[in-house]
Amino acid sequence: MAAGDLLVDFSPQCNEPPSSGAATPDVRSGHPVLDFDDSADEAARFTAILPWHYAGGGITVYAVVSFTGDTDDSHTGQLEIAFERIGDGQQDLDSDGFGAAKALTVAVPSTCGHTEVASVAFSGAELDGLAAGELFRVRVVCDTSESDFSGDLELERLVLRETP
Amino acid sequence: MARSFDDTCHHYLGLGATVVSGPPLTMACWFYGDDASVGGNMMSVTSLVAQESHALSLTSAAEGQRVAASSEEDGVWHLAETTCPWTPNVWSHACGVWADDDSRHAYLDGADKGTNSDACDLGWLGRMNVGGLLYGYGTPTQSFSGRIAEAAIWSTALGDAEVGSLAAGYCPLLVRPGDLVAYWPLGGVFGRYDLDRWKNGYDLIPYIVPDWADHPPVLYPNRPLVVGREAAGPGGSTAAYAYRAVAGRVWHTGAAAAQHHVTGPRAGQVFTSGPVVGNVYA
Repeated sequence: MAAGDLLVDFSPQCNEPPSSGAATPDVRSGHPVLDFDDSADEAARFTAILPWHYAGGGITVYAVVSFTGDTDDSHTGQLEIAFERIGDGQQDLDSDGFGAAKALTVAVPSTCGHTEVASVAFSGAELDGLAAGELFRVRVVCDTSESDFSGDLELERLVLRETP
Repeated sequence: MARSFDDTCHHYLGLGATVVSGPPLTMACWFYGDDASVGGNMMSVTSLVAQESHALSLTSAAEGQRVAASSEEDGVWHLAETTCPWTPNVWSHACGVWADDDSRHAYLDGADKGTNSDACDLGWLGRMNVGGLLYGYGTPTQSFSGRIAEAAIWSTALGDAEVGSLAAGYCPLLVRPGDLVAYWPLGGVFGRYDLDRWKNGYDLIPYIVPDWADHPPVLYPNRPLVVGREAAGPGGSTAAYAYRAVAGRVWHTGAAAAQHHVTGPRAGQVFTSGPVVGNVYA
């Protein structure tokens, strides 16, 4: 019944930055973005409740991304996405407990300023046990060792949708 | 609303507390200086018993009209000044970073970085000031002329990129919050208060009460948009799923015949026929 439902939409101002290696909040022509460097792995984290209407069909994560200067469309940026189930007595808040990350690869658009939307699907079993109605975090890390873009990767939005 | 300071009235906000004990620290705020002949002190931490301070200030036109991050020991000032002058009657962002006792930097709008590396080891700093410089008690000096908003102080030295984020308009709550010590919006969405909106409760006290004026545009933290849905539609059918309509219209790609008009606090239009396979707009 719920396949394809929009679940959560994270803007850059929803970011809960880690104490070190955080993606940099920035503005591009008035659009809030999170900048990820090309030379060091940087991270962003977001917290929300998974809506109760989530029916357990897995979650597809969509990233809306642009790049500051690179227009070589043979280049890519790789984001590592991971979920952490906080739930009800599931996670000690004094430590991180993210599940295994999955790669979300974004191609560099040939036109500077254009956005690119890329996605990666998580099965129900790949969500750290997360269930409907539970508190969770999702972490985004730009893996520079698996990327070849130059300048900054700019994250405009991170969207979660029940996998269609 | 921002706080508007009149230097001739010695408008001033202060607090007798050790907000930070010394470097590393960062002070930042938006400012709207309205008199280049005056400049003045925007934020400072000072001693109660000696002429010692770390201060984020504007110098006057006669002194170069710069943003200055200074350390003062026994009345001797050691200034890091920005490489470009500030402009009167426009909102700009000022930041001072004290990385160590011999390393301080000043920024104007996230750029024009100036550095000073004089050694300066201060004692106990027991007062926080906004809009003027006060060591112990009495009337503040270096009174500021203009508006101040979104003042914040961190117990760490922010990096160039983080200072740039603040100058881009991001709320201090979104920049290195783990090392944020105090955040005084001085208006804006938080209302006309001088309260610390972070966890430590360093609320400022208006000893000589400044006025209120327009606030600069700021990107505040957002809540994520979480899309909710009820188990039963407005029609009471358990087979029909309805999205909560809040101040607008919600629909999906079902047959239009089954639309519902919802009244009251959930006013809006809800289309509930068939399986939910489309997008949701609210």
